[in-house]
Amino acid sequence: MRFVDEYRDPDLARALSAKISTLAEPGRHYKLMEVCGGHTHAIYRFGVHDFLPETVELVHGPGCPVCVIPMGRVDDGMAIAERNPDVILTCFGDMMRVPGSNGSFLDGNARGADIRMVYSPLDALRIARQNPDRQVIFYAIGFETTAPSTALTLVRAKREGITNFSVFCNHVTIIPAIKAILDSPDLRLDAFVGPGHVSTVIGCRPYEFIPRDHGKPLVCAGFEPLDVLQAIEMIMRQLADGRAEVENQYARIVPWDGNRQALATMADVFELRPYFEWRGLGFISHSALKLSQRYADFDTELRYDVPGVRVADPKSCQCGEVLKGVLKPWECKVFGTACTPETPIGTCMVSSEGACAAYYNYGRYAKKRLPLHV
Amino acid sequence: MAVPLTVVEAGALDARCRDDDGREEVVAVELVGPVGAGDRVLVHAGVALERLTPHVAAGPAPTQSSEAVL
Repeated sequence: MRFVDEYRDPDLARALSAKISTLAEPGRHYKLMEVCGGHTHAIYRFGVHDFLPETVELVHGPGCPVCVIPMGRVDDGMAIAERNPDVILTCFGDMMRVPGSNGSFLDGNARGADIRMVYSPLDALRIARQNPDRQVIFYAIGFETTAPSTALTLVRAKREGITNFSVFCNHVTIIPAIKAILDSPDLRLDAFVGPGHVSTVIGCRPYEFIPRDHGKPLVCAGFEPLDVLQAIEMIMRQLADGRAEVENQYARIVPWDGNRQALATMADVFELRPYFEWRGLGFISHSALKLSQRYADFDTELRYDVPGVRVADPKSCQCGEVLKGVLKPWECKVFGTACTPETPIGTCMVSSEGACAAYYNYGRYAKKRLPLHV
Repeated sequence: MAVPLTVVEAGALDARCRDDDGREEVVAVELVGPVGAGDRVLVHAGVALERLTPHVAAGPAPTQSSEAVL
């Protein structure tokens, strides 16, 4: 298939693997964090780690949108849907299965709530147009890849004068999460594989503090196996040369300055929250978005009574450590036994971009294979 | 994840787009400026995030050099 096969060429993968091995300094262990859940999925799906020397370790980061939603926010959405019979709560498919302390949104539906899966916030707005006697809420999650679609939907809702639509905003931003990771005493990282599609929106400049202030390279990467391997090769080359820079492997998609129209729309619709709780990372200041004063009429949190209770993760769940890259998925006590994609205990097992789900679906089989070191 | 789609029919705010398997969907294109039939756009959650330039959309021809391919 065009645009796919050329990025999955096994001969080129072996050539890149050989280059990476050559660039690895003997006796040194490298820890590279892929920030984005899409990369985690690609790494396990395509067995990218099989093409790396044992001394190059990939650490999975916090960039899975569903995974970082704390249980309390799931409970908040559930409470709004269950206490208000006129509400239709809408959310992305992955979000339907995220467990809260009172079950998932699917469980809420079984108890009589009206919670619907949508592909786009624009679909939620369409449901609002079709149901003028109901209140339609979009439960918004995601990083800067997804926030523009919510922002554009709100622009259209305001333009059309739709009054039965609102957004329960859980959008988060990637830079504060990377800063939290860099400040974490638990982890020593050598470099970052930067997110691809988030960077389509924000560009590459926001990452420049990482080499400047922390001396670590970051390479924005695409999502095919050769994209990831080439980004790792670019990182290893920087480390071998003693350089620390932001580089853009995904230049076929990512503009260095991002999408200015999308950024302007987001700046109009959103403003930064003073702080927001991330699963696993705790409260991070200025790390999430809420609706701006101009769009306050569309803010679910101003329209409804939101419990806002902080709920601790189940004791057996170690998603927090997995999200920080401190634990590998298979090191969690309940991985693959009590916690599976069919019956997830933690968020990392829900989304295909979650490290646990990706490893459960692909990696555990690869682990049984002989290592493919070139 | 975002996916590249091809514009089939463009309007001012939305465009009918098709993926490589022939599936079609209506995509909001307000954030990427005017598009025309045949343009490639990167789409996430029903909204185009970036318009791929012809050079980028076509991509360089595969060669034995990874730098050239990617």
